Amino acid sequence: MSDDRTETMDQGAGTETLAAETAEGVGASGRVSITRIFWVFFRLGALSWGGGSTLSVMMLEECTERQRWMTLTQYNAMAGISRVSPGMNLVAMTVLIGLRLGGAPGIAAALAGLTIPSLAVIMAVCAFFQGSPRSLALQGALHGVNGVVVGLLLAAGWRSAQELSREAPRLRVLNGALVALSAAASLALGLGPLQVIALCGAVAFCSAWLPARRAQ
Amino acid sequence: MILWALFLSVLKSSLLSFSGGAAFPILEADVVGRYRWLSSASFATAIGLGSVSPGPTGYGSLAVGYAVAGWRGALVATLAVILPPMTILVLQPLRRPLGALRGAREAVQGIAAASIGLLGVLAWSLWRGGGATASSAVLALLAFAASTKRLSPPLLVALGALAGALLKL
Repeated sequence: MSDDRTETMDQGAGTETLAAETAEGVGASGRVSITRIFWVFFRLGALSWGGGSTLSVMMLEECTERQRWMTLTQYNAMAGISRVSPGMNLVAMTVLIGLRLGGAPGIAAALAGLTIPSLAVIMAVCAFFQGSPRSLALQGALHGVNGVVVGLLLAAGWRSAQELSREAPRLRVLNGALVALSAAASLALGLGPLQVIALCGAVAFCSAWLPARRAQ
Repeated sequence: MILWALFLSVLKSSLLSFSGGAAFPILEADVVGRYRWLSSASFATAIGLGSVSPGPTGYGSLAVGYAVAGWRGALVATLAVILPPMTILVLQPLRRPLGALRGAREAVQGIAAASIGLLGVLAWSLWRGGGATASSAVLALLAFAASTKRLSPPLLVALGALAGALLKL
């Protein structure tokens, strides 16, 4: 989808310094200072209370509007590239932005800024609950948390399903069948998640040779 | 050593998933199933506490690391979730040739589809691990509905904890 946009990113790298110089913290080389990269990502890491969707909106606004580090087209091209990486796409995006703004030190500054607030909050919250007395109310609270987690996981699956059906509208039936197959293989056959992923990946890979697809 | 095994488990779950939440079923298979570091209920609690934080959803693995091995576990898990996305530096130039391979896109989408089914199975098994009560089913459905309406996970977890505590009192 974003294949044709990748070139614009490279071409835009030179002309974009003009816009960048108007922003604060830009050195003579056109690079952004390491401390500035750190603080911008620290703010993103500390204020994005709402999971991945909140963070991705905030990151987009910060890079294209507030800091004017890049244009929307350049940002979207990078976002397209970051989707191919394993693991969290937003972390891959952070790596790409850090690299563009400040090379290897830029990557380190951006990753540290994004991660330190989450890590600190998570450790504080976990330590608090671990240290609390096992009162009846706390047991009830943790039971309530467990219920919410079940709902959050279902919602994460639901969002992925919507995204997948947008991305591959022609393969909706196949991908729907794979969702059912993975659940059945895990529950009925007792396959582990890695085996389920390998199985579904292989079936989908073979689907590229289906005659129905060739006709399109 | 537990920290090394924890590192490998979190690394594996992150390497084989293409979004934050998709890592949890793979992580659960190791942390709850294979090594029995945590019970199903403690795993769910860790994911819940991990959502009461800013940052990407996948950082919930840091809370699992903390539950398994304290602050050292959280640090090890942090390293393990950051390394896989770093491969983008290597994959970036290979993106075009890889994307042109027949079946590559379909395979990645198939893995995404598998992750959706596995998330459903994980939700089911965590519900059963938490005692399979009617109250948690109601909370789960409410949280699902609220989350699809873009209400933030930290708020929902806090409300769930409050509701759970009130039900016990």
